[in-house]
Amino acid sequence: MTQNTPPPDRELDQLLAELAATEREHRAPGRLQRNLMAQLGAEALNARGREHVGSGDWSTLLEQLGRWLQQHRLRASLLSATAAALPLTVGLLLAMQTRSAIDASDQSSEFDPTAQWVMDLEELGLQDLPEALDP
Amino acid sequence: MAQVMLGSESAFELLAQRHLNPLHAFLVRQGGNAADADELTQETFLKLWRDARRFDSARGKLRPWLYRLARNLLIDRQRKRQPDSVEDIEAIAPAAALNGQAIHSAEPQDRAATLNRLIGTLPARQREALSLVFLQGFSQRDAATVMGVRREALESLLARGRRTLTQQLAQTRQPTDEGNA
Repeated sequence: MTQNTPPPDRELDQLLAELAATEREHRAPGRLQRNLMAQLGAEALNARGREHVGSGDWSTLLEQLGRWLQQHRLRASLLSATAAALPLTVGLLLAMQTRSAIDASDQSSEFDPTAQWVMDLEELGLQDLPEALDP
Repeated sequence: MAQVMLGSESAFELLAQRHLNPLHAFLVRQGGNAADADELTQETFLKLWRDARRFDSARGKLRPWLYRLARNLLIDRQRKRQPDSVEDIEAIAPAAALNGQAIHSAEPQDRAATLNRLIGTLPARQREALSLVFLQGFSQRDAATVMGVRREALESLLARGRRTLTQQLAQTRQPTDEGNA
């Protein structure tokens, strides 16, 4: 053992303190909190959606869905994760809104849903709904 | 937390900002997989949001409750993957293996990295106890709450973990180290 080598127990404590400092610097991926808040928004929307569907206030629900989709730039993984929590009625509305978002994307460079959205709908078994719901 | 229980999204956001990074670090260490840790962190906070009204501040603090939620989700996930073999967190694979890496070094920064790897090879419950108390800064009482064990059991896990790490650290010293006095 050298003069500079601390006793084993003390060395362990020193190294654990170093690791604890490193652990405090740990940063989770930034998207984690964004996704979390988006999902939270989806849940709140879902709760409000039930109220609006119950009262027949579909236009308000659609408006809120549209705002939420644009706010969070909903993407594949998030949509899949969220859809499972949505009741069917809101799922249908989501499909409708997705369709209109895709239409909107043809005219606007700001909103870019991409073909991934269509793939998401296919994964969810909702691929025929936009057409079926199209007036 | 009172605001979160009332459904305040902004209060929840603040709470997430405070606890998300350390919880993620804990899950990476316990699960050994960054992708799983991402999902479990998210699931934990969503569960907190949904079950916020079940939290009773008279029965304990928020942080141990949050970590216990995360721990249970981690165990559930492992059970689903290995339904016949996982009885508890003890069966969860080590977070990190040495994988034949060179671990003989006396350099301080290398020693910390060595310890990090050695912690990953400890039995899961010892690793968890050490991680909660020494890396996450939990009191022994709160760490015992997270793990659902008595204080004495936690002390035993800590003592065994420390003993193993001390011995293994001594073994990883470079042979030349002793002749450099």
